[in-house]
Amino acid sequence: MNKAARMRKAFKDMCFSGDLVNMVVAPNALSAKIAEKTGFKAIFQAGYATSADRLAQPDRGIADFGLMSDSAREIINAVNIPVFIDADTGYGDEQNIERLVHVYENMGAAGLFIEDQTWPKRCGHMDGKTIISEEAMVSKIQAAVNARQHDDFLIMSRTDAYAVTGLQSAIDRSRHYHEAGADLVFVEAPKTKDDLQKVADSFPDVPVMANMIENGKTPLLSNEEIHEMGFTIAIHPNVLVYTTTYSTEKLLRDMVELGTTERQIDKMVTFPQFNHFIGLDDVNALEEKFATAPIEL
Amino acid sequence: MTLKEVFDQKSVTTVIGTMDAQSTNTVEKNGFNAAYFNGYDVVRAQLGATNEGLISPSELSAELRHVKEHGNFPVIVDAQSGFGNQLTTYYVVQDLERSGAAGIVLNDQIFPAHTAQNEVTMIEFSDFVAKLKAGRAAFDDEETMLFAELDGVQEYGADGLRKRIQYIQQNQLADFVLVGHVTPDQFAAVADMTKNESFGLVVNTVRDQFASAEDLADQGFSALFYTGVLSAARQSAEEQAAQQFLTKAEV
Repeated sequence: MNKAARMRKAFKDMCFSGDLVNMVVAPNALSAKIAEKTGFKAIFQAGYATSADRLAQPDRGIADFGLMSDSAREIINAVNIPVFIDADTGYGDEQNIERLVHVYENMGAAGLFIEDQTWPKRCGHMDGKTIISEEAMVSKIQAAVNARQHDDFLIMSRTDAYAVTGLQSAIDRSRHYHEAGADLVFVEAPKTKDDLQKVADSFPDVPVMANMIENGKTPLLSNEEIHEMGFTIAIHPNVLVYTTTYSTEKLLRDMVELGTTERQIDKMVTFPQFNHFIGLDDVNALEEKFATAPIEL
Repeated sequence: MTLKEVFDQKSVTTVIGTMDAQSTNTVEKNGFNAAYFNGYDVVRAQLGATNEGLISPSELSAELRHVKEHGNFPVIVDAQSGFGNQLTTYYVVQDLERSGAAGIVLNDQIFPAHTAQNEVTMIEFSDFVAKLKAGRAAFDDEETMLFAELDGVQEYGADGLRKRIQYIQQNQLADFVLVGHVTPDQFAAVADMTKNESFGLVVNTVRDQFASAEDLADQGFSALFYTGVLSAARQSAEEQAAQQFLTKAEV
């Protein structure tokens, strides 16, 4: 069994175990590696963080398939835990979805979600979203399901209908997306705890995801609360972007004002610590393993 | 020679479609003054497919940067339908120009744009005008040329095409107007329009069956953009070479 197959199986087992799958969104390969080393069992690659990390741009449909898939490949190759992909709207029609499913499946992703926003999309917690028809989205889900080469490459449906046509419409859409073949369900940006509960109650037999954004539209709950409500997947999409921005800004302001990093040095890892973390010892050992040995002919 | 000089110096400019550094070098070495780095040829070469809408703009610009490593030969780039709305058009055009495009073509298809005649759907003209304005605004270099490609003569008819050309030219929304996806039954009406309007023709040699470049020039088209020529030729040559090698190996 190759790595891609192991990751797909591991992720599917997690999602259908009944336990909570707790994922953080990794903006890049380094943060993915940190997540893995600190104990996350699966990670997510998503548009908000990738747009910020790769383009220094907001999540407004500026990051395209080429950029997102490049970033996903780097993340997947950096870790040995499943990586789930935010495939936005599929970046086009059913033919584009067929291509992206092949690309993500071949690079070793554990699965992906497709959303029903119009392109260019917006972050689910931004205002001004618009959605495509339910029929068009069902067709996209079917295209994704038909394109996958392995049944354990999981397809999640995401609906942004809550903000446009309301809670019941979002639940109805998600039900139809599930009937069309989506293995997992995600209703984006419910505004109250009651609405979150209604979403979870509507899908007792399907793994449902909750999206925990700090200062977003949805109330911020703990993993324990989410799980008790009936959700089996939790993601934390922006926390690493916000933390990196905060700490980087604080450090750089100090450097501009003081001309030294002295005041911040206790908030950094050390040179040897980082080299150990990043795997310098392993790389050196690998080189040593293949060192040229003298040969007598 | 700059792209503007290329178009100024001849009454009919012929541009050949390319898909990578090798094909662009071939076009340059064979006496053409510009290349047309377009979705159809790139998708054929890079993805082994024939639907131009499968490629994403960042993949297109990455390949373009390889092309531009070889010098300053003017390359016109097919930005298709802007890969979304006006906002995406702005960023896509900006990235393509930064990657070395001397000219940008925008068409009036719905995103994702398609190559097959029966898969083409048009956007509202007002949306296309907004995309042209966004594309122009994204330019950093005033020498960069903007080409407006009208692909919907099947949908809006010859009269609709004429009105669109006139609007674009009168409002200086683009430096040049191209007409694509012309089917044989519409060709005579489109060719007749060249008596009063100045515009070029986009010919996909795999899809379209028109007269020779010489005959088309005689019809009055002021530019001819050919796609499919080199990618089809490459595929044919590869098949021939592989077949010859197989035959030799068997012997």
